[in-house]
Amino acid sequence: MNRRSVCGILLLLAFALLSPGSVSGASVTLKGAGATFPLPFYLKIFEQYQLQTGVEILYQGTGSGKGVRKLLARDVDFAGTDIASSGEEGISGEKFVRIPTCIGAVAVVYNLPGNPQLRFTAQVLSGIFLGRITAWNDPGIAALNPNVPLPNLPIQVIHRSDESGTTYILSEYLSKVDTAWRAAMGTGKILRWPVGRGTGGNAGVAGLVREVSGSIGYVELIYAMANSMTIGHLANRSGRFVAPTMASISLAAEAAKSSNGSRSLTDTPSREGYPVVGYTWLMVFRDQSHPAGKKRKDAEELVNLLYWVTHEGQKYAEELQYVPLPGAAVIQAEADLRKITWKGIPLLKRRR
Amino acid sequence: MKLRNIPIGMRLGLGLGLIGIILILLILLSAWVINRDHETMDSFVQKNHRQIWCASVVSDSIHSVREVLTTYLQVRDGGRWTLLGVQFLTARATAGNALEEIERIETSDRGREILSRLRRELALLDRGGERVMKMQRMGMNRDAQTEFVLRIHPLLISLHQHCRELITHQEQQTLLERRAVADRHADIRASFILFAVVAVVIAVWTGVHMTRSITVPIRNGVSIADRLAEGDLSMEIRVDRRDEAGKLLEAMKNMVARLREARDLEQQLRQSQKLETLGRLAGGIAHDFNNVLGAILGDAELMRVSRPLDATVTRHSRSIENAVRRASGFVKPLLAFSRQQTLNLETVDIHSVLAEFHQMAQRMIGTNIELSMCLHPSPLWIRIDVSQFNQVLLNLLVNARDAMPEGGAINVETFPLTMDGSILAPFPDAEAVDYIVLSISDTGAGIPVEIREKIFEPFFTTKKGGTGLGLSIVYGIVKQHRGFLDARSNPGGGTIFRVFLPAMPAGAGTAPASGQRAAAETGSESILLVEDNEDVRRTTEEILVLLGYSVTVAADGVEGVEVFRREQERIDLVLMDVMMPRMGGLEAYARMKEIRPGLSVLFMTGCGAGDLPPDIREGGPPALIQKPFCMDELAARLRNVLDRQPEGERAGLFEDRRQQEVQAGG
Repeated sequence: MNRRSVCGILLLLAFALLSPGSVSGASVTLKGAGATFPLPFYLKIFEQYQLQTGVEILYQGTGSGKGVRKLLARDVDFAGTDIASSGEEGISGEKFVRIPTCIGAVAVVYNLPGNPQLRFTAQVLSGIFLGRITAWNDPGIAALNPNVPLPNLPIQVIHRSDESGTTYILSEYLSKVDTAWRAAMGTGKILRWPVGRGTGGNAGVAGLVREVSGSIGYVELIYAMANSMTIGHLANRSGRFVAPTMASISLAAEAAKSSNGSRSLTDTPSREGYPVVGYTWLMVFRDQSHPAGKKRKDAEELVNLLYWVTHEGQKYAEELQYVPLPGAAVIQAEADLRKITWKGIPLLKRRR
Repeated sequence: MKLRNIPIGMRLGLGLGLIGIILILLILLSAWVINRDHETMDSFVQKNHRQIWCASVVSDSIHSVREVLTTYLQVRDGGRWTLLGVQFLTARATAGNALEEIERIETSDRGREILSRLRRELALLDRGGERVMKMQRMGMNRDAQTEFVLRIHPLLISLHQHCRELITHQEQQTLLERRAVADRHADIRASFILFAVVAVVIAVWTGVHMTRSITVPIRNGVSIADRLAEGDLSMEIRVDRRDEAGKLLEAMKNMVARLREARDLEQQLRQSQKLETLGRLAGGIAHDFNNVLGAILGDAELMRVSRPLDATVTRHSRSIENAVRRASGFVKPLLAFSRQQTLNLETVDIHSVLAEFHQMAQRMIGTNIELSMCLHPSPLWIRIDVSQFNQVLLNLLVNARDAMPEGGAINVETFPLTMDGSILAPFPDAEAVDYIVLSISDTGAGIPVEIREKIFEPFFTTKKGGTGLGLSIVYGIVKQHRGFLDARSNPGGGTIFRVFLPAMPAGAGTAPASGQRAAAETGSESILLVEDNEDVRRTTEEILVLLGYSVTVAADGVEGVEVFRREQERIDLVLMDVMMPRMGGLEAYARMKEIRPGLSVLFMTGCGAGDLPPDIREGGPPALIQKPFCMDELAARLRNVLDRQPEGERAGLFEDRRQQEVQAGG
């Protein structure tokens, strides 16, 4: 048993007998694996879905990379990933359909005595993660935080060691804004970190940052919030230092919509928007009738689930600090859902 | 390769380099050992620190899980539940990651056993926690409480115990490892001390060896220099090395050789200077003595001639004359030694002289001595006064004979010696000309080293009743012939004398001076007599008058020139002493010739021909008469000169030759 399974497996045991909302006599189980970025959201909504429909969904928070590989191996019915199709290497867009589920933000968290509120620019952040800034009282940090007493403490970088969508979103942002980062690290799910300690999953990073004094790391916002961690304010394109909130994330997402058709939400031109924001996706095979022996019923249940997630499920997002899909994204998602077929026929039934 | 053959500089470099390399090796070795040990220690400390830290993280996380679950069971708020759920996730993930990290570095069986139990229990906690939270969400608070108390709580306690167990185990491991490291340190310290001792021993050995190899030859050189300073030139310097010290010894050896040469040369020079001085002394005495004898002889003859009928006078006068001649004979060897005899030179083949001498020599040396001649096949020409040369041969032969009273062999050898600086280098008297060598060796007792320098001194003798003049005469004669002598003990015993005489080109012979003597001849010509010694002047004047000449006298060169100028028309011949105060005979002669080039002159000398120009010295017909002379002798020489007068041309010729020689000599 490896770490990811240990840390990520959520066995939603069917307490069918105990479940008052159970309507379906047929027991269907859908399996998914992947991103830990939306894990709390998925755990929440999949439990709700089971309560409502009786369909059991098992989701493993393995990290985006491993989730996609499991999908390719057909170990799972769907994969969770934070990476827009253009960034996923080795996977033909034609074979898959990606359905966005919500929008999240990568929070920069740190563990300093007294929990001071700090501001960062992409350059300082990149300097820290590249090991060029090694102490908390570095003049670069001090210049951004003039009234904060900074301890003379070495900086311990905590980063992801697995193939991670969170890493991808952060590195995409830093690559867009900082040339040094672009040259040294680039954008990717897994990076060659010059310094620091790697660990698996958003929860792993959050736990380690909490344990190590003087550490800094990056996690999805909900992990930071739930664990009461100090969250850094990041400079956005307009030069404002913004904390990740529902509002700042929404603003950033909307700015992306209006500015370009791309699905990237990092470093959008919004004045008050938080700069490190990203969609998270569920990825399924376009043609569900393969391989042979697969039940059409299961495929239908999968499409139903996806439809539910992009519609009714959205109302659980805000409670977990995720931003629900904007209307346009939902419409796009519906169009994409219709691309999922059983022997050429779309599985999505017309809804009221 | 021997150490002594390597230059000192290189040797020092090698030695220091060796010591340096040893030190560097030692330093590198120690650095490596310390570094390795440090790394081992470091990695171990890091590993343990990490393990203990991870164990405490696990412990913290379990604590978090307990708090999350306790809180979960107390609230009924969906939002709180969600956040607590994420906290649960976080704590579980953190514990799992930490556990995994410990598993990666834990190697002991005991540790692994604890870890596997921890992992099993964590999985149970995972599932149990989820179940409890779900029950709570479902509203089954009582069941959830019961589940937590009965299942989860004991699990949490057990997990805590295992964490403590793990930490204790790791602390024990650390202690064990510490002890091992301490033991290793002791070993390392011991081996370092050993290394250091070895290095010091090598360095000391090298240092002592090197120092000795440098100081020993220097001390050797110093002791040699000290002995040289004390004047000891007899030592043998052995050069048995090729380094700088060897070069120094070599140089000292050369220096000693040079010093020896210089000392030998100096001794020879001093010897010849001494002989020179003695010669001058003897020559001076002979000169004055001859003047006295001349006066006595002249007076005795005059007395006899003036009373021709008085038999007593005649007898006494004869007796005086004979005594004077004997006395003059005594002076002769002195003159010979002082090289101031008048020489009758002729160019002859040395072999012809030896052939004539052979018979007499055979008679003289007796039968118990074998005389052998080993002569050069070609004629060897030398320019000698044959009678003087016979004296040389005689003296050397007698010397050889006397050295071999028990009999032996004498070998006479001749050979030419082409001028060569290196051959003649040991002889300070040698000139840069070719030489003919006459060597006479015997098989006698040889010459003791201590008297070798004295044998040529006059009156030095080792023979009973010897005069001590034999070898000094030889010396004088040879010197006067512009030759030199070498005497040394033969390596095979006996003595070898070598006579070096300047070689002449073949057949360059000149007719010997005609020594025929007529009866006392008279004349009537007018003679200017220049003589500083009053007795001699008076006696000579009387003899001349007696012989019929008309005589004008002058007391020295200056006066002589004045008289000559005044009465030049009248004067047919000038009879003049060579050595005079104010102006000597030669200079006066030169002045007079300016007045009348065709002048006839006869020089008188009491001290031999040493100071005269070669042509006169060699007894050219008109030139010289040796004091003391008898009346007949003087009469003959005067006639001789006067009768040649018509051949005035010859005098001119003679004059030219002289001029040329002066120029060549200048």
